[in-house]
Amino acid sequence: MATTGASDGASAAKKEGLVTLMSGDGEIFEVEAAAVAALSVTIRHAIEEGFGDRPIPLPIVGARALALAVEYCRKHHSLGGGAGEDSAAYDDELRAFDHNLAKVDRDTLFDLIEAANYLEIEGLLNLMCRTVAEMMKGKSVEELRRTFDVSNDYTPEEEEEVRREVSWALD
Amino acid sequence: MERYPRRQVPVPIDVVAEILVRLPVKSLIRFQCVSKTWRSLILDPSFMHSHRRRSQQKPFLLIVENCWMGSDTFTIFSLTNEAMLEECCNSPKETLVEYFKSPDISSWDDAVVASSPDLLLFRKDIDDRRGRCFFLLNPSTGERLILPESPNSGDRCTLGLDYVPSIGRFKVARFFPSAKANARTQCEVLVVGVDRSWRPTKDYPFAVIHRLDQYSLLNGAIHMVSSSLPGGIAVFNLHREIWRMIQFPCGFCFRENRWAAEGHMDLRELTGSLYLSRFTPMKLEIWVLKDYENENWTMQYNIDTLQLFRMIWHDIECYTRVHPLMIKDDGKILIAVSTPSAVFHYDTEKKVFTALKYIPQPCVYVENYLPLN
Repeated sequence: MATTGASDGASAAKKEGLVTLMSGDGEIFEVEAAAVAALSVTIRHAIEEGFGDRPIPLPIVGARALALAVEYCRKHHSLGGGAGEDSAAYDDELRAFDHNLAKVDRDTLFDLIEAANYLEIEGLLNLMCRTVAEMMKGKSVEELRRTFDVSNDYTPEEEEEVRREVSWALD
Repeated sequence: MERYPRRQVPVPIDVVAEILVRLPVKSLIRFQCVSKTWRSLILDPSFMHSHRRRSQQKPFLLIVENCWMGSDTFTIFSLTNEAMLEECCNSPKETLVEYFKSPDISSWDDAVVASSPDLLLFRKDIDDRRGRCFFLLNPSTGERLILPESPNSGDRCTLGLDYVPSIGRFKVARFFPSAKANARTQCEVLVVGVDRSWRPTKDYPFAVIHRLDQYSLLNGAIHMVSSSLPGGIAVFNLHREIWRMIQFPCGFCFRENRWAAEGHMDLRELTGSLYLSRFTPMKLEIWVLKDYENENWTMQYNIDTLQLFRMIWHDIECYTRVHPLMIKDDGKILIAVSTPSAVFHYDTEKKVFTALKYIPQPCVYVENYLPLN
């Protein structure tokens, strides 16, 4: 699908198989169209709609998250779905790559989730959300508020009420 | 790194939703306390449904302790994957993780009579007036609901339930032999949290067998073995409340109370397909309904059970039942024996049985917190 979208145009960028992405903070990335289009539904649609010769604007994706997301797409495109004798080795390499990618700091984690959600990269979204969900499981309500920068909008009475209702799940 | 300053804004709610949807129910219930926004997200029906859909990808196996002796409280244990079940067959006490505990359900009198992937349905015997009631339990939340009594309560009945997406509710169906016409099955249904009494619906023109091992839930429909000739599988669609009959595999004959001649039958859902097996002392034949719509059965395994019987012959009883418990990706099968209770591992390639220790039967459970009321 991706290659069809990229090959039927006439622009220079398309000929070389590249596509230009512009992050929300204005940075330009030239990346292999096939790799990103294979993994990101949003970019695939943009290319199909003929964005291929202009930079595709990605307003809510920051440059750092975009760089990581592109790296993810490249890696998974070149190794993922690889059939044949190497697929087991590729699987190991991909697992190691994912594992390392998930070690980023908290802010980057959230940025990456937002980026993966916007770019519709299912695998990356799943990887990052699972990582955060795993961290959250044993945490208290207060810890969660800090991690997510959530301001507590309950009045003390309201909070007391909710806590009573769910008391069995608080320990 | 300095080029990208620390984010100052709270995490957007759709990002929060993507993360929360991957959490277990107990964490979600707790995180309602974080803020009002989080609470309304968690209690939003469409979020609850996405959570359930995601949980379906990794169901638990529950082991209900009323088969497990020596306890005053009622405990449900969980296994998070199928590999654990096999491990658990060897060392149950170490593997089982306590999942739900209730002191007011006793482990002796109350029995699980049906389950859907979302709920357990119990029968509770009330000793003072020799009555019984049925109640639903969601072991993730501990929420329970007593079902209204039915004027048609008799000893022989089968209950079945499932979540019906089109109405966003659970529906329970009750099947019992018709009082008017012999060899007919009557049916009444109840929408949980809506109906206050049972509502009669279409009959089935044949009798069905009221046994848990001849009952199975698949594709939103309840499957029961029909004993009257011509025989077959009676299928009740819970959503549309219509009946259908699935023929037995070609050459398969079954009549109730003729086990000596025709063997023990078992009907169950395994790996998303309907499996029918027949056990005679010499062999275990297992059919799978490969094409559900066109009723296309395939004989999947024909297992010589003589070897199995040499291993347990001194404990065997005439009513010993043998049936498949789990079909695994590697072609191996877990085979359960009812008396004496035991589980065996069968290697279909090498045709070898390996004994595992005793384990009560697990039921499949998908974590959810869909409200009962």
